[in-house]
Amino acid sequence: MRTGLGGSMDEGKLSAVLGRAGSGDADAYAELFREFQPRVLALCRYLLGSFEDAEDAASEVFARLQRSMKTYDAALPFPKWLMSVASHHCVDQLRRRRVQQRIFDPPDERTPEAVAPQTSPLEELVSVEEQDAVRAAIAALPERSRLPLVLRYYNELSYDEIAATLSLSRANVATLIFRAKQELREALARNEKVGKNPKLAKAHKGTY
Amino acid sequence: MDCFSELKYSIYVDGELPAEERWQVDEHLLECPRCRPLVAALRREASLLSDVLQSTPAEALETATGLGSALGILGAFSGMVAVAVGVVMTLTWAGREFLGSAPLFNPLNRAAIITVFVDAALYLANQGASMLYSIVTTLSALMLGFLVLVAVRLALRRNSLSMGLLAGLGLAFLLGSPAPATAMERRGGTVVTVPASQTIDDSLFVAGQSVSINGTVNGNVYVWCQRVVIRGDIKGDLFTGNQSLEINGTVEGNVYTYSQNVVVRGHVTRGLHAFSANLEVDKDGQVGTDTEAFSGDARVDGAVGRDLNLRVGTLEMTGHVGRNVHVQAGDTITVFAPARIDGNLEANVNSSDHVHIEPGAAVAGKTDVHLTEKAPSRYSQPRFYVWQAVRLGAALLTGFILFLLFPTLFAGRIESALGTLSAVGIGFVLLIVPPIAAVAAGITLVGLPMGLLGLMAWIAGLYLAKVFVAAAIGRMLVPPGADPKRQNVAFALSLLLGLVIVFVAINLPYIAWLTKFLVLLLGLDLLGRQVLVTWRRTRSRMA
Repeated sequence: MRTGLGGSMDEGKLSAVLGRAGSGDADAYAELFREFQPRVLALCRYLLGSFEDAEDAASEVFARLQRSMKTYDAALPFPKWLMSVASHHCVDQLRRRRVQQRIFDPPDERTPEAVAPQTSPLEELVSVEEQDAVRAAIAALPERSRLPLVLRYYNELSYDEIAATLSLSRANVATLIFRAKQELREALARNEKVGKNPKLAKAHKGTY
Repeated sequence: MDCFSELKYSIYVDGELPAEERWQVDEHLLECPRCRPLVAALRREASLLSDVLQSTPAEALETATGLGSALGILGAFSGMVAVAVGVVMTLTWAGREFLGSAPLFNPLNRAAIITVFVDAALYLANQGASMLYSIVTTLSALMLGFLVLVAVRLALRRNSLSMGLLAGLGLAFLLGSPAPATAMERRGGTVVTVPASQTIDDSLFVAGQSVSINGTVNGNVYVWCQRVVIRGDIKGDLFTGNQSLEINGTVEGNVYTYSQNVVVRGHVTRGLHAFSANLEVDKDGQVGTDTEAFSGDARVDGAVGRDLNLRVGTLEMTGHVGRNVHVQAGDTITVFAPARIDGNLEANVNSSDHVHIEPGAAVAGKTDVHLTEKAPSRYSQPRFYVWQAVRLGAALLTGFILFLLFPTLFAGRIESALGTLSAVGIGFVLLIVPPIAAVAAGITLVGLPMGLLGLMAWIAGLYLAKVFVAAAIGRMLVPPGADPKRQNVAFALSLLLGLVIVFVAINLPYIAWLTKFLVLLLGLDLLGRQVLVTWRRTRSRMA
């Protein structure tokens, strides 16, 4: 696992713990909590935008884990399943904040390039500060860009899964993710205080 | 063939193009030297986003940026200071505007704050039961209101029937509870006179510029005005807040007054309790029982039936005191010739030549003169700094042990300006509700141990408040590193830094009371929130 958020459990141990959890062992749930809580919390933080709401949401996810385990299909990797449970929970929370059922109005189908014709893709980041800057910029994105982006690159969900989670069409998801990346590039370029010229931005090390 | 859009390449890179389109793109890339680098860059960008997100360190998520939250704190703090200054200025202005220019109404005056408490204590001693009842009624109403708000909010958020029912129930109870009865007569106007021929059977509440009571009032009298003259007869107690009070008639109960000038020429059958700049009991004036006063200057030429307790600048007396005289005087005490004290005279003064007793004056008991030493400024004493260092060390140790035992308790943050302001509100609730709840629980025998435990936890929370604020500040300034082995050391260092800042802040001259109060509120909120979070986590672990 690439994550810095815990993750010391290997496959064999995890399946043993899951087996015990399936038979209702409270200790097993405690172990799952220790193992996965940081990742779930991080996801909730990205999705909900507020640390407090994220703590609440992560607590809820684990509080309901025993019940939701019944829907767990052992064919799926557990972390992926757990993260999708968590993202569904967060999206529900966001929906509840709004009166209307949909978080997203479908994006208008203008040509997305018009948003930012000049930005170029971000590339390799060397320093920890640069990585922190990217994380901060992601956290600061508006909800409609942030959610698809995080679901895609943190949760590694497919476009179809994201579309189902957010009640959008697949084409909308593609557009939103693309726009999110452009907004991110713009935000980082602004941070660098070198205006719009992405070539000068520290984040752009490569050439193409 | 034309190049594809960047959107299409983005989908391609994410592996989400349908097979047919993917082949088209594959083919195009083989022959297009312009698009190949773009796609490669998009690929690197996608893997960069995955890497950056998936390697998120836990602490990077808690606040968006360190600078933002530091500014947030600064903003919140200045906001709170501005609010406090605003309140103080409003009070001062209101005091000037409505109560005349009585200097005693300056809320910055420490003596005034003390008096509020003294008056409250005196009042409680006499009217305790009924007052307690009305306080409990008011506070329960407030708490109910608060609960209703919380319930409504939860109901809106969770959309749950039970929460809605709870809210409805609370509201019904609140509306159904009887309003406190007010059986008093109210009067207002610039000049209010109760003529000699008139008798008022109820209590009388008067607010005006100048008030004369020449008739009879069978209940209590509450007066809030610039000048009051009592020529008639008050059967109950007299409560006044004004610039000048003259009692020429009779008050058969107690007098509680907060005035610039108080003159008693008539009779007060029971006690006189005054906070005033000048207090005079005229040679014809009589106080039946005790006279207690905080006063700039006091003159007692009349008779006091029992004790005379004064804290004054100067005291001059020629009158008669039935029991002991106890005076703490900033300046001089003079007892002139015909004066008679049937008990002891105990005087606290700064210098022994500040007490003059004329040969013709009689003190039946002992005469004790104590010298009060003027305390030097605490900031000039090394002892102060030593003790602050000891306290800081104790707080550091307490915080560190707590951190080892319950690390999650310290995860609280002060997130934004708005969050901090609401935190102050929650802290205020946590400051007043637990003791009330504890007392309420303590009324029943079964609840008594619970109440005592709750009260102890609350007192512990008050002590710990500054530790939590210090931890939050320290962590904001020195975020802990990622290395788990050094977490404890890092925490201790950041706590130390935070404690130093907090201790300096709560010992600042003049505004220490404000910073102490804010630290208390913030700390209670941080503690309360983390206890809640920890409790929820424990519950979810149990689940």
